[in-house]
Amino acid sequence: MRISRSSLLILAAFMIPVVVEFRTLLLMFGIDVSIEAAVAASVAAVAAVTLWAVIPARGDHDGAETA
Amino acid sequence: MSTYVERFPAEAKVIRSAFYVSFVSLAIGALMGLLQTLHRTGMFEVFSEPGTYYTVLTTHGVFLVIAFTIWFLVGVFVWAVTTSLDRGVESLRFTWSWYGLMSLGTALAGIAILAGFVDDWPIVGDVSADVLFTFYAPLQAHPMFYLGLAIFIVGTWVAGVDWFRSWWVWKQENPDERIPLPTFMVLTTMLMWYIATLGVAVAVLAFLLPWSLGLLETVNPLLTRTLFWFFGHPVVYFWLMPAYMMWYLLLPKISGGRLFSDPLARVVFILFLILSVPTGIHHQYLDPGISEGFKFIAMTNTMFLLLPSLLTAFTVVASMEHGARQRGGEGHFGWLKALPWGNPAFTGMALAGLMFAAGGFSGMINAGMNINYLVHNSFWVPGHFHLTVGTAVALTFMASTYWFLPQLTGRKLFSRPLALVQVVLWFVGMTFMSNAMHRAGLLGIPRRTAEPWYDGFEFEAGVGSVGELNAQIALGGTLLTLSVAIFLVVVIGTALNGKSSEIETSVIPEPLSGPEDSPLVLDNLKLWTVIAVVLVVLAYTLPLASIIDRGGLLGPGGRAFPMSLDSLVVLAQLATEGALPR
Amino acid sequence: MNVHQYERYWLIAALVLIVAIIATVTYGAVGIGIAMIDDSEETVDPDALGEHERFSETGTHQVGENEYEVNVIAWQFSYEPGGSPDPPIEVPAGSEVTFYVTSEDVIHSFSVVGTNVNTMVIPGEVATMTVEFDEATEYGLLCNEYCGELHHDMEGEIIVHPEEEFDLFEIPAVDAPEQVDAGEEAEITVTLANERHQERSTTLAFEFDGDEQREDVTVDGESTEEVTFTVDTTDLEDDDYSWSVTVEDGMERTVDESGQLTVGEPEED
Repeated sequence: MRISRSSLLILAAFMIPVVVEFRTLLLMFGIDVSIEAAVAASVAAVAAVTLWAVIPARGDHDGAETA
Repeated sequence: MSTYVERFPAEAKVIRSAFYVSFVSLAIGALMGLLQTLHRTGMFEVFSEPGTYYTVLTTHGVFLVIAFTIWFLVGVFVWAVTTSLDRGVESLRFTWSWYGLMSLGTALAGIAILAGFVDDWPIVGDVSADVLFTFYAPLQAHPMFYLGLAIFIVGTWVAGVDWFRSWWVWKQENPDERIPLPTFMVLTTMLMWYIATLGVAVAVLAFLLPWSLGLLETVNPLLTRTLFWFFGHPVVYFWLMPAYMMWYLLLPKISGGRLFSDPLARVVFILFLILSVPTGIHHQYLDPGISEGFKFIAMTNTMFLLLPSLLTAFTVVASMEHGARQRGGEGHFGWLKALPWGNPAFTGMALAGLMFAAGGFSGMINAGMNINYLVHNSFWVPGHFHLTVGTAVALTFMASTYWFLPQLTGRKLFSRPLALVQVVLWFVGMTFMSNAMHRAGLLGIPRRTAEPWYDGFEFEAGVGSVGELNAQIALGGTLLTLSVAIFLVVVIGTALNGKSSEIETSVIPEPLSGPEDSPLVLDNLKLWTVIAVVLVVLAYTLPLASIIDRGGLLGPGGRAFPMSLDSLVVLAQLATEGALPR
Repeated sequence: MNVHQYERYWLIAALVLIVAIIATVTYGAVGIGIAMIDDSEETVDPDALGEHERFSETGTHQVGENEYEVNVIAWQFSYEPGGSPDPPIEVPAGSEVTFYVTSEDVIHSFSVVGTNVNTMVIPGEVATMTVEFDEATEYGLLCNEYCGELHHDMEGEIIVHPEEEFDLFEIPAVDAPEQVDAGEEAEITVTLANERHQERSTTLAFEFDGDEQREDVTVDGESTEEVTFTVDTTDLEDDDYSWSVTVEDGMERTVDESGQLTVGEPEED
């Protein structure tokens, strides 16, 4: 793990408001993103961060655990 | 002898008992919140009779902001006074007496409210108190509601006497010492509370209770409303100051460091003492019968009340950074990574503080006298206070529970990962709910409304749609309820856990800049109380005099609109005729 | 007292922020002229609004060139006028309208959806606010203060008419005989009052026994005209007949009068 599981949880939590309001922001510029697309994008974003956190450091699951 | 329960077993029992009442109230209130959020967003038709919504809303408001918060904070205050003075309460019997008074008050008011779910009770008939947390006359609740409220508040007054008494005895033995910071915070908060509750005490005892008993025919709705807000705004600081106390005392410790500055913590609490009360009229910007000048004064005081919160933001972040650097954190922002994010007590409080910043900004909008027209009583307002009392206070209380419970029980926390998920879930749920509430409010959607959809018009969303805002609110509310459920699981699990000897010490580390740096005048509670009273007199004498002069003590006329009075009629018949009718 | 340097900067920034916010609010009040709801009106007895000078006459009244006053009573659970069963509130575009709102029962609000027209309505007190309506449009009106178990049903409407279509007619009096002998003519004289300050034209529709007579009338500002409708009873049997007169001015608010005319000898009951 690049970051601890708790840090990953916090990071994912912080991404949610950003994703929700990014859609609003785009709407203000006239770019209409459907709710389905927004949900899919947010799931993809969280998945990407999770992958980033987990993949490169396979093998040292315990080492980075600061929690 | 390091945990609290080992040092003060009897006091720990008092605190545990207070916490458990608090958590039961939280459970009831949260359940009501779920029903509301599903019904008013149109997701599910929860109530076939929409009027039930208002019984639910009254329960939600009173059980959460009166019972959950105050029961929790009296527990925290017992802890703060006993640990910082390093002495138990002077008389356990006295301590349990205020516990008993508060319990009686909670039970009476709670029963009056919950009875509203049933239309007709045997013998007593219709009992209800669907008047919401603000109980504005001439809507009238059952007398038991007002009586319970009065007894509850008297209970908190007696609790305050208990803490002052501890301090007084300690002072005789330690005449030259500074008041320890936790005790100082308790005493200033209670002084503020004594001043603030005068308003609601007069409203309830002089007007509403006699009126609900039929002794008075009318009341002056503007007067009782103004007296309510005399109490109704400072009560938010009564919730908030204990949360601040946690941020000042626990958060730096848990972050691995020490409080940044003891003197500034004292200054902050003094500012709250003197500025909390003379601001209540900012809830009445749109009330006819109060002149613009008085509203302006309340607005100015309110804005200066931002100062202690802004100072707190600095101190808390600085203390956290200090802690992070002690733990090896480096860089301008890199130290954030070194914070103990895996500790639910820390993460919960940090997230609560973060959301409070957002709530503070929407609060500035509310307090802006002229922009208030746009948001007053709209859904924006509950969006705001679910960030402040609903997160800054509630989440801080829940997070600090994870630190307190092992201290109070000697048992290990049931599950740290589950507790961590709980606080994060609160953050996520509240983000969805409160953000959408703010936005819905800007469209003109009203608060406190069972079914905010109308025959003659629709709300127009500039961006997005009302439907998706409703979906966000319902989703957020559901996540929040789930979060409360997890919280309760952790609490119950901990209470059933085995005893552990690995609980960290309850001793709070010394601040970086200690009390020796703070001028002696800060500890002069008499002086600050006098200033607070003078400010209240300045802010309220003329408005109250004007309201009474215009409408009279008992108002210019009108009637009562009882949500229920059948029971009184029946009881009166029982008393006069000695038998039940029919 | 030892205050860290950064904390001192922060403190100064915080104070600047606070003073700046107070300054913007002050500018809003003094510069832009956003008045607060205040205590300019005397208190009223919520139980005796029917005898009150202002609230016995609810609805729209013109008080100046393009200045209007609208008197509204909020009640559980509607507005008079504004909400069912009363007609909507009607005002002309390009006008300056002062609302006077009170309550006859509990605390309500008077909130115009999508605007900053928003006030508490407290029994015993009168909320006043002056609003400029620039364009012809319609607004929703709602109560945002919990007022009882049907609070969510409390709503209303404000219709802003084009200035040139806005009328304020009243029929203060109708002079009509109660009885005529068969074969005689009956004259029914309707007094039509134009409460606008400008000259206005409208049509009076008079209906008698299924027959309609229409008459176009022009009335000077703030004055009245009398219009006489004649009913010929030659071909009528002895009976009671009803008549009505309606102002056809295109407003939502109905202005009409009606009565009965007995032809022949009145029946003995």
